[in-house]
Amino acid sequence: MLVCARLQMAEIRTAWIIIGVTIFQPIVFLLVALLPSADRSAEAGTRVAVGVALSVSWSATAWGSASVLRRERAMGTLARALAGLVDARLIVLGKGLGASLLSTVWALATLAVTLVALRQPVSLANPGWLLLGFAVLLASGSAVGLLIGSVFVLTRYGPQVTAFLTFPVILLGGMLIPPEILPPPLTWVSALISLRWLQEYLVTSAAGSPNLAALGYAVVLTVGYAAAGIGLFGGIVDRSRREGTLDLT
Amino acid sequence: MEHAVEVEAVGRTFPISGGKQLQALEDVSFVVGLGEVVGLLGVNGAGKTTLTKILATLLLPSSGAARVMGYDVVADTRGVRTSMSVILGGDRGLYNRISGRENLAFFGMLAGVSRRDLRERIPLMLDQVNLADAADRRVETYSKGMRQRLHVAIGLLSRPQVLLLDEPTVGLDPLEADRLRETIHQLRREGTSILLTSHLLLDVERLADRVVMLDQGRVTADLPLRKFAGLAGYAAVVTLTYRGALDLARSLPAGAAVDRHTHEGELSTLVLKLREWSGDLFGALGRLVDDVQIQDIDVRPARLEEAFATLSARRP
Amino acid sequence: MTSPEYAAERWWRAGRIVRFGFLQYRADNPPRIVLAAIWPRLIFQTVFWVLLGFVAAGDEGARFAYVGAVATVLTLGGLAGMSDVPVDDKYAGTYSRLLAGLTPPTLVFFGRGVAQLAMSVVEMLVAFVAAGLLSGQWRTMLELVPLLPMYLVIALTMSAMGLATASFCVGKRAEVAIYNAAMYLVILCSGAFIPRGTLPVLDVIGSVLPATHGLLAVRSALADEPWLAELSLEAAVGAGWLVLAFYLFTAQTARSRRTGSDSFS
Ligand SMILES: Nc1ncnc2c1ncn2[C@@H]1O[C@H](COP(=O)(O)OP(=O)(O)O)[C@@H](O)[C@H]1O
Ligand SMILES: [Mg+2]
Repeated sequence: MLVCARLQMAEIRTAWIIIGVTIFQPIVFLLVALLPSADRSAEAGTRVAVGVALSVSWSATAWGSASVLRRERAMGTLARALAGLVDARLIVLGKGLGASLLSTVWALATLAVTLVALRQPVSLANPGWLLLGFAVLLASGSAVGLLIGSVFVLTRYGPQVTAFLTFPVILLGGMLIPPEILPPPLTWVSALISLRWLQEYLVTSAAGSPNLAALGYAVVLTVGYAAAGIGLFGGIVDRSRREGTLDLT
Repeated sequence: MEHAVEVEAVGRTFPISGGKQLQALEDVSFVVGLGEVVGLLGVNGAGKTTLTKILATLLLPSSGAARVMGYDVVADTRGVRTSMSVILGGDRGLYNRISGRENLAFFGMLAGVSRRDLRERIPLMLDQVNLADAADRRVETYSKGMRQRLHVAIGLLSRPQVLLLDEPTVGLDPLEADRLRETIHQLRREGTSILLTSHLLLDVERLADRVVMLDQGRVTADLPLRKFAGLAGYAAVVTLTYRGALDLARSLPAGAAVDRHTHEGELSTLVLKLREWSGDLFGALGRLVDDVQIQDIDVRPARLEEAFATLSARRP
Repeated sequence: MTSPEYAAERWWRAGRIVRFGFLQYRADNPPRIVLAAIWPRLIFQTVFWVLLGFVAAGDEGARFAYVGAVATVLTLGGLAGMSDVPVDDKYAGTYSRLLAGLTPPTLVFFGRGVAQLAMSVVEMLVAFVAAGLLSGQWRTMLELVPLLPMYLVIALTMSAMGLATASFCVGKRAEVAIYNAAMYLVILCSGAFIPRGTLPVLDVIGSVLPATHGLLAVRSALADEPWLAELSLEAAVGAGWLVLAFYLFTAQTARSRRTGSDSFS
């Protein structure tokens, strides 16, 4: 969840939001999802922990890409990076990946500490399979980062828009809220979010029988995001160049 | 009361690293008479802004006393704030996403302008600083000069008896700077007492009756302008890089003196000192270089450092 | 000026300051951003909390979370958003102008904060209705309508804490982190989602935070139990934060005159 979307957007320090996202958010989500619940089994613990990890990773990725773009823009290098189109995409992809990786590690560490403090058992049957899942998560995150990057190229209100984008995904991504309890049309939307399948894959891996079909879906969706991101980013830059609406200041 | 501003032995220290104290002002004393314009000159770091802030009640002095229109800047801030306006230089200090008019109204209201005055004077002030057309645009769309003029309008809205100006022309292009000087000139005619801070001789020459020099926090000179003006001996330096041949002996305009003339291959560099900053003189310079191919021209007003160097050199 | 005129002039000034707060709010949050990003986000957020409550504890959990989630909407505009009030001056470099004005800067900040407070209440009402309908909580929603004044008290308390937080984190680089911490603290400790008595540490922290007592009052009223004492406690917590905010801003003003290193600019 985010937070200070409203501090001056131009000067906002998104880096600090990421700290909030990677430290406070996992604690709050975990406690709110676990404490009122009667089911404190290892299965429930794993489901919630994976859900929180994915939610946090997603918010952090969104804010991470946002902050990369914001910094480029603040330093005036965005305009220059955009002059060489392919470069700009690589920059955004690469930095997005870095931000994702860093914040996911942070979030997992916070999560581990909180779980220990709560004495909440979790199951971790297949560390190797879990790692594979997180690798796909990072790839997925950087691809989405490119999509979000397009928003920042378009508008100076990137932080608000990013804040708006993070919640629907947390809500519909089947991580903390099982897709089954969503109204039927929304279940479809949920099927298009790679996090939903990663959640399924990670929870089953942790229990000892990885659902590889779910992982396959997640990979396919990630490739789709990357293609869309590359297309949209380029398209938006081209269009705004033509129409002179590139908001680079 | 015969003085608009009285500064008596004012000192100000700032704590710096290592537990030491930086003496930004030391034993500074001078006055600004009613209706007088005093130029406060000094290089960067001399303490001009510190002094301006003390007079504007934004900063407390460490020692000494100062009064504005008879009100003590420490004990009677309300009196000082009602009779004085401060215009700090630079293009910050405005709400960028709000229109110029709203900025003006807000700051005017804070400065104590009454409801009726605000309604009447806002259009007047906008006209006076030439911002009437841009008034309803966001300040972020303004040029540096427009922002600076808006600062001036804010400062003048409350019809202050005393005006403190800190580097009002800094960062402005020559045209904008001239326009600003014209506005200040008009105030002077209306009898406002002004303390004007600058490191540009030109500002002071155009506007001040008297010059106070600050050097490392101390007053080193307090002279009428007439005496001061002669010190530097010139008003501007023109550096000209060109190809071709110039006949200086024949066509050098009166009021310009050659400081340096060097040749390097095909390129020649000519440095001229101009006695005054006038259109006629610049016109004459233009005619002088008609026949050569100009590579580069740089014109800059004489800086305080130069006057100061002269001043120090002449001191016995 | 005669004194009634003087008083009228004062009210006019107060009105101008409040109005300027709204201008700044609109400049920082243009209507299209409010409608297209901020409100939907708050609605989604509220629905999310309700569903999470449902997942954790069934229908009762959903109802419990809805009552709390409505109050936590206020953490965005009322708590974090309040930082815009002094932060605008920090970025614009206008603090010295406020300092040189006749109205004390503390009052200017408080007056401009009214816009944030008002908008946070609007946001809360939007999320209250939209998320109530979307998450199937319309019955609880109808029950809560007569209790909305209690939420108004929470809004005031939240804004008071927002002002206090704004005053001491402005100028520090960590301001956004401090705001994050404050928001999450309220979400975690106010009993909005985690019932009191679950984890004693949370209750202790929560007792001086906005929304804790107000929500207890709301929940008591829903259960037809006495609520006045808890609501008074909420108001007292708000008053405490307001006094703290006043002190911090005033101290900040005095300090910047003394040191010249104004933390605001
Ligand atoms: N708030 C402050 N803290 C520490 N040192 C300061 C502060 N303000 C000014 N100074 C120091 O005081 C000296 C005078 O500064 P200033 O009045 O700004 O000079 P000027 O305006 O003439 O350039 C400088 O050395 C400056 O570094
Ligand atoms: Mg200065």
